[in-house]
Amino acid sequence: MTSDLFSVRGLWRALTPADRIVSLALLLGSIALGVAARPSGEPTAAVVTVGGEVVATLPLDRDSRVEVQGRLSPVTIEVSGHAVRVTESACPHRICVRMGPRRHSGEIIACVPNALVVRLTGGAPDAGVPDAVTG
Amino acid sequence: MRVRVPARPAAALALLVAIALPACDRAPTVESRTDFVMGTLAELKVVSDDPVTAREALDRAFARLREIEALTTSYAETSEPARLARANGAWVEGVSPEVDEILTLGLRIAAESDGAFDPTAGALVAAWGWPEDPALPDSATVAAAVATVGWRDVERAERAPGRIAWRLGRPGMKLDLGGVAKGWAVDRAADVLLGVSDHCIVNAGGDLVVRGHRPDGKAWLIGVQDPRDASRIFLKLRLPDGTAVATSGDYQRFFEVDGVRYHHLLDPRTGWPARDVHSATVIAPDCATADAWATAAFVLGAEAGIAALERQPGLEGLLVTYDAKGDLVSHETPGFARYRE
Repeated sequence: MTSDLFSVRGLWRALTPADRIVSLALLLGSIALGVAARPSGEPTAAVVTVGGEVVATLPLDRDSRVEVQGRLSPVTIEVSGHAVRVTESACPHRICVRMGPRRHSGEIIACVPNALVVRLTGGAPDAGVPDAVTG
Repeated sequence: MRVRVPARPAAALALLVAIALPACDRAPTVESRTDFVMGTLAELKVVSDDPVTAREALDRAFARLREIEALTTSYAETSEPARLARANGAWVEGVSPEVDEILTLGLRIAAESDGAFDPTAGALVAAWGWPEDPALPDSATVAAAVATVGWRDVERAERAPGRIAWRLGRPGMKLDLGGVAKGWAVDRAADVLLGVSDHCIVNAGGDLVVRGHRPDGKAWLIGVQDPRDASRIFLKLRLPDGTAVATSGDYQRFFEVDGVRYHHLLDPRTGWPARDVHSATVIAPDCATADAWATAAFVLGAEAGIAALERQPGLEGLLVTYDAKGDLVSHETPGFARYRE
């Protein structure tokens, strides 16, 4: 028996009805798994690092407030309405406070004097959110 | 050509391959890393289907940034600007290729901008206490610092191929390479990443260069921060392969005395903060050029800044001022619009 396995039609003809049912089920299952495994939607947490070390992980599904010790001063970080922001810092220029809230996956708030970074993790990057910011 | 194979096992094999393929899928993803370097937060992203190789490249790129920082900083006695200042007018031999290239570029842009950008303003920056401890200096202190500034009084000599010497010709003259070295370092870090991927972005505190494109095939999307509100993006740019952008603004580093705001972007010719513009964004083929010209255009002011950018091939710029009501007013070169999202 000869079969042209390099065409879809040839492959399909080589299968019995039972094979076809199993194949279709596996194919649909594979697609469903792929879709389910793909991250989607909003970020799930704000990860806070000081000098590269993780010092706090704040879930975004509930409001919270935490104070962490930066290199220079304590820094207060607040989660409210699925967004995170730095509300207090004794750094000289308070750029981190003026950055306001961040709510998209991959966005970061940085405080250079305190060596502090707040990064939103989980979820999928939003194609409309800039890959970088100049300013 | 037809292949003779038993149908049932072949079908099973084809099926297994079809199912296994998605698991082995190595679609390109963005590997990114952030770290503090050159007085700011740097974020590097590289598109790759090999995460291990990408991470190793990110390590090397950050190492290159730190290497350039150590050579060019004004705040370490071991740096080359410190060595040149200590020579007090004498020739300094064996200047590194990095500082040689950065200083050569900085002096070229100083000439093209008529001194609005000047890499010899180190003593002036120090008189204001930037960046660590800024304070309002008196007029005599500012005047004395301005007397040490002068890009025309810097000399270069090539003793032999690769053996470079420089001298700072005025007494008390000091370099401040901050306005060009960061951009140059960004370009070199991108060179490192290009060794493993055609697609990357290197961003050091808003001075950035893009190579290739995003994983979805679109050009990299860059936000420009609103000068009035750091939490907002006031426009988005689509930057094609091999494009850099940098922004100088008066809203990041400043202090106030008696209700007057003093920011860190000093006019090297007067010694005082430049007042006309609030933000200058420059697009260039490389980040070093974008970095230096963002400062130069800011200092020149809206009208002269746009005119100067228009004279430079390959540069586009957007300068922002406020009107009497406090609304943003944009001034831009004719070609800037093509980058707008």
